[in-house]
Amino acid sequence: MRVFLASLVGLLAMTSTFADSLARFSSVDIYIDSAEPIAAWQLEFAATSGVIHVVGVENGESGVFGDAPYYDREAVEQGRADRIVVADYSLADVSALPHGRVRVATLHLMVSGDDQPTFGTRLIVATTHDGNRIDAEISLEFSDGSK
Amino acid sequence: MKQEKHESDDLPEALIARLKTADEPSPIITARVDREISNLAGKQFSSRPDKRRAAPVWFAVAATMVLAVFLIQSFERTDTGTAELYSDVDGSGQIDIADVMALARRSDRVATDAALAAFAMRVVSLKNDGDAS
Repeated sequence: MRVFLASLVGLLAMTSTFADSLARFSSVDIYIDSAEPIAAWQLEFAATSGVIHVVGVENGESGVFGDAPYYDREAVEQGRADRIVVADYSLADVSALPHGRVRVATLHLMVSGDDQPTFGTRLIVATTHDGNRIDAEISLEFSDGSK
Repeated sequence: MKQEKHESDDLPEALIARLKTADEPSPIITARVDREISNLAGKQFSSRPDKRRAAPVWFAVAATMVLAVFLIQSFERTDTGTAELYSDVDGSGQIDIADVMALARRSDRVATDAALAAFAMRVVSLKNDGDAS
């Protein structure tokens, strides 16, 4: 996947002088803001306008959730993930679980078309270590790759 | 110093006898002789009570019983875990990653790591229209 992304980035760099209608790559950081320690979370992400495809999913900033969250790998690899559901959980001790504004995942996108896409995300569930639902907020930060 | 030299071709009889013994040809073990020796040895050992065979029988029976009990318990755990996979384990009204975690947190660990991973993959599958309900 890293080779694939690197190749795509290189291709983008070579064609940067062409029109914006070419596919371009960007990333979206997804954050969950919770006053309580998060043990499990699940979200849905999709574009509300424009054409995007998820080409990669990266782990968040907390090491308690393992190397990579759960998502539909087959759909991403086949290039048909125009939306995605991402989730993860941790059995770590409550003292090790993250809280506050936590980046839980980074989505790597391939954006097509001239229009700048807009995105929507929905927090399906977030729970504490004992399964209690958390009233958390979800937000995202878009990066167009120029940074 | 005066050196005395013994010049005699006559060796002691005892030494001669020992040398003759050393010169005798070695006995040849033919296949027939080998079979005879093997048969004799087999007869001798078969006449002894084989105490080693008594212990393994009881040991094998006991080991089989322990294995059977273990397998039965394993199947019972698997059946329970399988029934709870892909279900609303925490009773929240929807099937999501919290159900996977609830199953993983059970002290009796009815589901294997592979089963939990499969459950989680099903929860996030786009074929489930997002929330796997």
